[in-house]
Amino acid sequence: MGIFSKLRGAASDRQTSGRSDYGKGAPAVTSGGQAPGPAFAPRGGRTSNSLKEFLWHLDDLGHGNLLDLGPVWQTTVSFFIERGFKVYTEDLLTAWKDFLRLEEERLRSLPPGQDPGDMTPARRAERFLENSLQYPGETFDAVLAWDLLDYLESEVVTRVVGRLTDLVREGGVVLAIFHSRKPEGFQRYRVLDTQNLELLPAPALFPVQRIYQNREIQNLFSRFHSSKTFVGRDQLREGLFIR
Amino acid sequence: MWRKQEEPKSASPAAPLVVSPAPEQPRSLAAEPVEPGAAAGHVSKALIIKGEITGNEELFIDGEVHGSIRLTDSSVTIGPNGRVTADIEAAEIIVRGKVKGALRGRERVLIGRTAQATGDVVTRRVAIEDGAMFRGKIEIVPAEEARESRTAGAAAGAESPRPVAVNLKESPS
Repeated sequence: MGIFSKLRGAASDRQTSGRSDYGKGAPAVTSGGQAPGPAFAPRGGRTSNSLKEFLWHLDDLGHGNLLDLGPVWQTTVSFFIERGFKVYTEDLLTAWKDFLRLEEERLRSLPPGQDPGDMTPARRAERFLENSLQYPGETFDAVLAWDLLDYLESEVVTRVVGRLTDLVREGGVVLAIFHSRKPEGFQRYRVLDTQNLELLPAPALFPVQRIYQNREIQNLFSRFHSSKTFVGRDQLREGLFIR
Repeated sequence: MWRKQEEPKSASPAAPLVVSPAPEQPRSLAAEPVEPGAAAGHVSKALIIKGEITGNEELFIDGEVHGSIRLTDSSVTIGPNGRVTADIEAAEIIVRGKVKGALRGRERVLIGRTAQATGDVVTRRVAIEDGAMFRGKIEIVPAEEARESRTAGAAAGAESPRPVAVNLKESPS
């Protein structure tokens, strides 16, 4: 029986620390370090159909590599590690912000009259990805992209999705979230349990760059084998894309 | 009718007092105060170390370290001002400053809320505080593997002399 099939139906099965059925010696992943950071305040859980499907899709894997493109959270890391996954974390939006800051510093430091190089959005996106998402091809079985694509420049978005397409194994899955209308605030996401995500309001790193329509989303992930979207009452469109 | 309320019988002095031992509390991975004074070794803010650090004493780093750190039976704490570019292998690794390098914690790794860590973490237990910045892989290995790593490390240590920190110099203030 697949690992995640044990978890289905456990709607109220809130993640508990230290529980582990996998691996010799039952490696403990504790939920210590819950001290709240200054920037985030939990808003509560939100039932996520895409998360359920995401887990269902990973059912038979039992273990593998998962890439989380949001900030690192104990709950998300524990959730997947306890299920036998190796968790990679790369906060892509923060990396993009840092990259832009460094670009600005570089331009400021240039002597007057010196050529700053190719500053087109396309070239800038390429420069950004020279230091981001640097993994061997087909490394990941699952990717949590959250809503970061809404906040990136379109030139970056196409390249990020292209890179993800190369990084995800055949049969692997990407979970992404899109806003159906301009959001009231910026938020981060973490996994609470098998069916719920927690949305955490946070200081905005960027304004939303674009509201993607369904067709545009499908085009972005056109190299994926299949896609499925779920629209919630809160105007969040969750997408599941299978490589 | 007005029965005198019975006083509870006191335990017979002859009765043996049975005290069950308090269950051993697992060591918390939650935030712990930073106590540089508690660590035997202390790299203060104004110090820069380049080279390899090995040994068996606890180490608190609030300065800058480049190279590698191997304290297989002790703990390494990178303080809020610490800047470390090194692979670290220790029984316990606590990160509250900036670290770039692989972290191999035999027992546990804690990434604090002020931490900025880049590199892969391999350990038996991991704790991450909200607000921590981490980029890399987290891999949990069972105790057996962690012990094997320790044994292998000890064997390697027996073959080669244990160098001490080199290029110790004061950083420009």
